[in-house]
Amino acid sequence: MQMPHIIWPQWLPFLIPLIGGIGVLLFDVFSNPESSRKACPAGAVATCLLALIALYKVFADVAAAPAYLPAEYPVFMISQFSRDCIGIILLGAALLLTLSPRGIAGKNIRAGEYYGLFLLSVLGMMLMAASVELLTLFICLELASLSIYVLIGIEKSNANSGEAALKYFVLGSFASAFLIFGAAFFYGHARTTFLISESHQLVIQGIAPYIALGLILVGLAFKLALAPFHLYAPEVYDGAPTPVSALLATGIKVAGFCVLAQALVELRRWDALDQGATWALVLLALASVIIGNCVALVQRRIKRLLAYSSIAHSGYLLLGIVVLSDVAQVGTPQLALTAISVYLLAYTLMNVVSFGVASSLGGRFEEELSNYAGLAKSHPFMAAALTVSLISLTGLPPTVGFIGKFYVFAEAAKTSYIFAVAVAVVFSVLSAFYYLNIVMKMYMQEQEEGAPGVERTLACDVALGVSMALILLLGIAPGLLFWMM
Amino acid sequence: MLIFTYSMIFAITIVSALIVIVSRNTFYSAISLIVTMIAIAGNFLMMRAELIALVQLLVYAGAIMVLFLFVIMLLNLREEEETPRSLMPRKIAGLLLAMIFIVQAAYITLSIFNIDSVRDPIVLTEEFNASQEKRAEETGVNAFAETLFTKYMIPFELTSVLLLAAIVGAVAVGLKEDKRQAAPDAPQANLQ
Repeated sequence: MQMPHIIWPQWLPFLIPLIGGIGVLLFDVFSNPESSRKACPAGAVATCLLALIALYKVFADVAAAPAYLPAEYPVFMISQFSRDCIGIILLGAALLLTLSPRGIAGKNIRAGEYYGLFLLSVLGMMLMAASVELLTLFICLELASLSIYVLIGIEKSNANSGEAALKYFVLGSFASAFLIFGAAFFYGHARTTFLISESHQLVIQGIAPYIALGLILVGLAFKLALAPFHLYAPEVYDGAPTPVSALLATGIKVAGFCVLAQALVELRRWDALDQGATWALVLLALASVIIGNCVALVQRRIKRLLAYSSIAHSGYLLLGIVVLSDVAQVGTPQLALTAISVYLLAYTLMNVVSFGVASSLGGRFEEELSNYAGLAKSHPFMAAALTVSLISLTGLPPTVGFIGKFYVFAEAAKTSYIFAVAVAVVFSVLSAFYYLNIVMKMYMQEQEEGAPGVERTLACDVALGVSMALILLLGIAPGLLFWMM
Repeated sequence: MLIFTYSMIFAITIVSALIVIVSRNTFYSAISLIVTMIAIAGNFLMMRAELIALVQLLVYAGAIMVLFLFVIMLLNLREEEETPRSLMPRKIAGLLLAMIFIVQAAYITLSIFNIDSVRDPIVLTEEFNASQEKRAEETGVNAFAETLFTKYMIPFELTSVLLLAAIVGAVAVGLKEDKRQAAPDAPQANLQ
């Protein structure tokens, strides 16, 4: 009897979140609520950090050649790009888990289920970013999504939370059906379910491959909240507990973009793309940028505003992806992939901070924007953190948001779709209005009389401080990024 | 003997399927749908497709039918009222679809058996059985289990993680409010 492949060290970064998730669930069963509320978040954060270290130790040199996770049926591949994406997912998850105890305090949420499902969802995202086969991709996507459906609705005393969960569940299942239908067409045409493979080649002939790739794109575009598949996003982000909204905005999008980017690299290697595919992506990107930015202008609730901002950012990211699919483009896609991973890191950090400030302040700060008036006086640290992240979201130096946007736009400007870049730049200038509006409120308006203060916790300060420092540090010295990755 | 068993199962399948459509009581329809599902599983069994028969029993006769019955009982459906609209267009459409189905089924059956002239059905079934016997070895439960637990082990185990998340999620969503879990700093007002 041959030993199972699962004990090989390459599986370690994925086994840690699995064991951690199940461990947290079991710990909650055998301990009293008070101690599990303290120990579960600590265990979950430690799990993510351990997995992050293991990932970079085990896959230290995948830059030369991608490594398959050992298995008889090799469905998971770690390339440099997917390793960095998984690292970003884990970093974001660790920061969000640190913010979570404050984020879910006083909301009548059971700690064991929350942290256990959070870790299982992160595991799903990690595996999704690594998977090269459509059925496994589907299973991983469902693992990530199912856990998130529950996390959104886990606050049972809040009706909005339940409504958001149901909405995301119904629409998300529908989107998954598109993905699986696309996979069926793909199999029917290519006789393999491997999206990325060294031995198979997809030949575009007839209409079946277009239907297949189109349906898969629709399924992914829903998870990435790209316009016109974004309609669920504002309500779901607004209803979910804030750390979960942040996970929705960061983790699953990073995983989705990783899959999309790798699939496009592969399709271009096969010469299986034509002008039409690129145009579809350009239109999706432009629609997201325009709709996201314009609708964000009129939002009055912080989480809805951040939801529309994340739709706009998905659009910018997709412009980077367009580079990969552009047929006229020659040379290796490595530069564009690096630009995308830098942007994904920047995007994750900025969203962690902006959602994190809302969740650490809690209560009314998760609702109306007008509550932020005068925040700089009552909570100078929170106001500073939010300011840095908003400046970064706008894309101004000296923040990592500027570096990310600069790289992605510079890459996209090399293609023949330079007009799309011009539109994106114009709209990203427009975005300064609603981002800096919050900064203006915090620093230049007076607080309402009698508004109660909010107590600070060390964990939140540490998580926000680390993310803020990373945003500034990588913005000032972007060379560090390449040393890190 | 074999032909007798075949005929019995076919008859049960068709009769119970007819009852599903004809019966006016929703509950009777659901029960005869279960019978149909079990009879179809029997059909698969006769064709030596044990695995599909098993899955048919587990998934359709088990899980899906329990779901149906729950919905019927929860919604407390009454006998369907007589619809005043004319049923003529529906009847014509139904007949047309049935005819298309019969033609297709006949075409497939004839092309499988390669019938030039009418032959003895008993000889035919025995020939068919012999070919099925051989195929059963390749596609039976053993062969299936072996691939599932060796080649496809990792996707299979992943599915179990997925199911774990689903079960924990279902419990987390369905659990009653736990009084001792209410955080000390929880605003008690919105627990009501």
